[in-house]
Amino acid sequence: MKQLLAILLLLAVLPGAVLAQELPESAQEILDSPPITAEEFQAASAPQLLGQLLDIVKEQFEQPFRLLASVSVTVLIAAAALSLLPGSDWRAPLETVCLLGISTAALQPMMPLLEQLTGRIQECQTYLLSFVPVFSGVMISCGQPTQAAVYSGMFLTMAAFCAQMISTVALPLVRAFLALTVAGGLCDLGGLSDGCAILHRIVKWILGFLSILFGGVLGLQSVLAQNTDTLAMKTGQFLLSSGIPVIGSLASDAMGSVLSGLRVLKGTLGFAAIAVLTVTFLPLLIRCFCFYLAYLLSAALAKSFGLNRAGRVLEGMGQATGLCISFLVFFFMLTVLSTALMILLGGGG
Amino acid sequence: MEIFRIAAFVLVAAVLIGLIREHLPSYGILCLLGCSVVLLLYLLRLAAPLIEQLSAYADYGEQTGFSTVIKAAGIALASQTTQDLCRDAGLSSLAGKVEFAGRCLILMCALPLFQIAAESLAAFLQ
Amino acid sequence: MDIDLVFKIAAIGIIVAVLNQLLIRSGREDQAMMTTLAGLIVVLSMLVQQISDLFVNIKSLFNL
Repeated sequence: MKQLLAILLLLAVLPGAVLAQELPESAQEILDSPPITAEEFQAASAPQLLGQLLDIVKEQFEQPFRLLASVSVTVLIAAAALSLLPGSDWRAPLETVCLLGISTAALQPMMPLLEQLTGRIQECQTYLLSFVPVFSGVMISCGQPTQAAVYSGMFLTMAAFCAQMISTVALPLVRAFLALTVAGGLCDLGGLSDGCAILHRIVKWILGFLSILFGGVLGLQSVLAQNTDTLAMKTGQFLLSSGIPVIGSLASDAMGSVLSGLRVLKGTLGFAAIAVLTVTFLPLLIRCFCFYLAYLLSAALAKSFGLNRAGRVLEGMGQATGLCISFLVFFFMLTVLSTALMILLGGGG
Repeated sequence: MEIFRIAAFVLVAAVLIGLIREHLPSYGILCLLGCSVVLLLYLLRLAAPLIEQLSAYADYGEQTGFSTVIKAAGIALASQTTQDLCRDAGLSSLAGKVEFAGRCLILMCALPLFQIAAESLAAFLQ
Repeated sequence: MDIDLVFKIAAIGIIVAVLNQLLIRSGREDQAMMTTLAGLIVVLSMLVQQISDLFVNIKSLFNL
C-alpha cells in the first residue's frame, strides 16, 4: 500500500523518463552548476582551499561589524543628546527621530542579505525539484521498488514540498515582519507590535510543522545509518541546538544522518562535492549569523541606554535574521540528504 | 566649580525676582526673562564642546541621522525655554501653542529621514 | 556670567516700584503709569541684545 502510494505521488508530480545509468552523471552535472566548478576545486590543493575559505569568512565578518559599530555610535550619541534635553515631554518626538536614524542605518544591509538568501534558496529549490523526474524515471525503469527506494521517494517529495512552502510562504512573511517591525517602532502603536508577534509566530509554526515532517520521514529511514555517539558529536549537537533558532533541536537530531550523508557524498563524488556545498552555503550562513549577533547586541545596547523603542526594533530585525538562518540550515540539510539518497539509490539500485 | 557659580546666581536672582514680583508683576517677568537668557548663554558656552564632540563622532561614523537629532534637540531646548517663561507669566495657552510648534518643527526636520525609511520599507514589501 | 545685568534690571525695577508708589500716593496716577512704561522699555532694550545673542548661539551650536 505504501509503495503504491509513493509511486502514485511521484508519477503525479513530474513524469520524466531518464535511464537509471545516467543518474550519477546527472547528479554530477547539477552539482557543477553552482559558482565554482568541481574541477577547479580538485585542481586546487588543500591548504590553498583552506586559505580561500578563511578569506571568505573574514570578508563576511566585515559588514556586520561595521553595522554594529555604526548603530552603537548612533545609539550612544542619541542617548547623550536625549539626556541633554529638558523635560520628559520631549522624549517622544526625539526618540522618534533617533529611531528613524537608527533604523535607516540598520535596514540598509538587510536588503541585499534577503535578496541573496532568496536567490540561494531558489537555486536549491530548482536543484531539489530537478531530482524528481530523475527519480520517477528510476522508479519506472526499476519495476520492483525496494524499501529504500520508497523511502527516498517520500523524502524527495517532502523535500520539494518544504522548499516550495518556504520560498513562497515563509520568505514573504519574513519581509512583511521586518517592514511591520520598523513601522511599528516608528509610530509606537500597540496593535502593530502585536501584528509583528503574530507574524513571527506564524513563520515559526510553519518551520516547526516542516521540521516535524522532516523528523518523521527521517525516523523511518534505514538507508543512512546513524553514527555512534562520540564526544565531538555530542558537542556539535549541543552547539546546534542552542545556536540555531527555531529548528535547533531538529538540526541536532538530524546531525547524525547529515554527517553520514556527507560521508556518502565524499565517497562517491569526492571532496569536490563537499567543497562546492561549503562554498554555496557557508559564507551566507556566517554572514547571517554575524548579523544576528550584531542586531541582538545593538538591541541590548539601545535598551541599556533607555531607548526602548529602538531596542525593540533592533530585536525584531535580529529575530528576522534568526529566521533566515533557520531557513538556510534547513535547506542545507535537505540538499545534503537528498543528494546522498539519490546517489545511494543510483548506486544501490 | 561651575555648579556653585550657577547655583549662587540662580538663588540671588530668585530672591530679587520674588521681591519685585509683589510690587510690579510685569517687572518680575522681565527680570525672570533676563535671568533665563543670561543663564542659558552661560550654559550653552559650557555645553558647546560636548555637542561639537558628539557631532565629530557622528561624522566619524558617517551618520546622516545624527544631525537631525542635534537639530531636534536644539528646537526642543528653545521651545521648552519659551514654554516655561510663558507658564511663569501665567499664559499656559501660549505655552501650549509653543509646544505644538516645537513638535511640528521637529517632525518637519525629520521629514527626509521619514522619506528614506518609507522608501526602504516599500522596497522590502515588494 | 553677566550677573550685573540681572542686578541692573532688579535695581531699575525697585526704583520704578518706589516711584510708582510715590506718584500714586501723591495722586498723579497717569504719571505713575508712564514711569512704569518707561522703565519697562529701558529694561527691554537692555534685554533685546542678550536675547538675540542667545538665539544666534543656539542656532550656531545646534546647526539649525
